[in-house]
Amino acid sequence: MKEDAYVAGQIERALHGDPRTHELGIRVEADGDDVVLRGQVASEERRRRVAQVAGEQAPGLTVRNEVSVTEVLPPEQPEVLEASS
Amino acid sequence: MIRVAAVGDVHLAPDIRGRIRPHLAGIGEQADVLLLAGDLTQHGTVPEAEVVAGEFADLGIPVVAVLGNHDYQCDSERQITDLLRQSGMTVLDGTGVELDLPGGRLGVAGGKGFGGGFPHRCASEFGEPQMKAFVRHSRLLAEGIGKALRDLSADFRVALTHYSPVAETLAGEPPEIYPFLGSYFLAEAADSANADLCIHGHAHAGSECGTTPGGAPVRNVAQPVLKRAYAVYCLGEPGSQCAEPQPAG
Repeated sequence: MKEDAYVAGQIERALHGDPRTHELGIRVEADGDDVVLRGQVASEERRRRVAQVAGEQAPGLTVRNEVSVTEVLPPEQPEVLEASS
Repeated sequence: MIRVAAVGDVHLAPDIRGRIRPHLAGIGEQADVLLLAGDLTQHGTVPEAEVVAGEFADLGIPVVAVLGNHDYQCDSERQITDLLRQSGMTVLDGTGVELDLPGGRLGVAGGKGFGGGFPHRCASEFGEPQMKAFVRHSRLLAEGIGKALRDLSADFRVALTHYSPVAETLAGEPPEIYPFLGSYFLAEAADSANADLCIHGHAHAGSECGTTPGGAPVRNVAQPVLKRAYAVYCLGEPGSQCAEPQPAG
């Protein structure tokens, strides 16, 4: 059985390089038969694809997808900056 | 008083077309210019750039952008740049632009920038050719941005990059990856021109606010950090106030 750190590294490399994802901000933790994905993506579809690509790299393991979809809220009050020069 | 709207890391693609657009209605009431801090696309393809062009078209205010590392993924950065320019955006690549706005003359200079790290914890141009090339690339990009900033003759100067100029706005990211998220060369470039504001993205888990060693405010406007469609920063005399903002659409 592969060490947890190598499993996590392999899944992260796949999430970075797979053209279905190209997601660099997902943190993968592997612990025995369990894999947990954490981070943020821009849509529910991208969240699903992250789990799909991770699952392909971890056959037989249980992938728990805790990735969330980033909110896009309306702008808030402007911030006034004092001139530095 | 100049009102600068900014957002980065929108990572647009056809699957999320229209994600930002509804919040851009009426942006001209909120801001005088919109800055886009790179990673405009997810995979760096031309069809994605078409989505970007559509999302930020016809806002009624100038749009100034730099590319990010995602925009380079498919080696189409030149086509992406050309497409965005044809749509009316200004795309900076070690260059600057000056805009006459109602509140004064704004100079924006910038480019993607690159990594390498921050004082005491950074790579240097030493040893293997690959390491020298990595750091040299970062240094040369920052030097170009610094020159472009110093060449500006404007009331206010803004440095716009994708990578971060300071470690402070990376807080929340694992410290081990800071050297891949920014370089102090960029802060040095901004401070060499007494920049009034540094805008960057790239660090999705970072923090919004920081300061360069020379005292310039730094704002990480990565959309996952802001969780808003954009932020607005007002440059002006100390103590002066922005106009009362209108409700955003």
